[in-house]
Amino acid sequence: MRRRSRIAVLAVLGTMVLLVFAAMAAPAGAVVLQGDCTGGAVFSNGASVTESTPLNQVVAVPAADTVRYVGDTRLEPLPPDTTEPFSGGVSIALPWVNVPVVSWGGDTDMTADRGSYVYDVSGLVPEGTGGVEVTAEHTQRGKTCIAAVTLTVDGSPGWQAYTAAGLTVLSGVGVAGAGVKRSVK
Amino acid sequence: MKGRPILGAISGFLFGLLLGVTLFLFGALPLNSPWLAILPVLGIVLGLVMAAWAPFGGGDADADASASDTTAPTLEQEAVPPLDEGGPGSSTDVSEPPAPVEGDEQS
Repeated sequence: MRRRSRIAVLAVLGTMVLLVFAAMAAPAGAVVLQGDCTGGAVFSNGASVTESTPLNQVVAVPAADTVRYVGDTRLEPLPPDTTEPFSGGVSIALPWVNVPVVSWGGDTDMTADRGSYVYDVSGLVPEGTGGVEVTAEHTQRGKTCIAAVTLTVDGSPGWQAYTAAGLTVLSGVGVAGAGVKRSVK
Repeated sequence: MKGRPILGAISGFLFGLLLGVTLFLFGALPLNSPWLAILPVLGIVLGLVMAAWAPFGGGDADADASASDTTAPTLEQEAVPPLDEGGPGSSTDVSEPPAPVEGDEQS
């Protein structure tokens, strides 16, 4: 009986190790870009992204920062005092599905922009996670540009990671409990 | 199933889901990795396999299921007592079964 239990524990642990190593394999990918727009952002920790940053390169950005950005739709500039509609948004890639998180739209007289943007996601987004593929899309004058980059928040895994690890062990005990023979009376 | 399939399916699902979340939070998996969707399914399968295999514990079910295991020692014990008769302290490991054997010898 003890021998069977040991074999079962070894089988479970072996499966977990194989899955972990298989999951840690670097994702294959290249930059996804529709259209010929250009853009980039520079963060205070020295990280930078451009439209040509490959998707398999995870860029670690600060949780709170003032980011300097530049973007160009490469459209002909509009005549003075005229505007045109635009739309777009940002989405996050989950397994097999993209979830929109930000959208924009309205009328504009610009075809390019640059400046700085203050953001703070500390406390909202856990630090030190795996890469999050962020896709930005912008449509203006019938032209759509799509660019994607893989980001993570700079830092070490926090309490969320250790809580999840503890709950994983607990549920693993539940799996082992399913392997206990039922008593028949 | 000798084990607990419902417990196995539920805890296996949670195990796979939380394992994926843990791997993501520790930076081992990207958020769009298909493993995050596959692991809960594999967890359910693992839980059901564990319930079908039921390698842990024993109790009454184990005693009933392995009847041949219980008869084999009895046969061995019938052969052993004559060797142990001289040493009363040596029968501690087989305290229950030898009793009828001694009774047979007395009668």
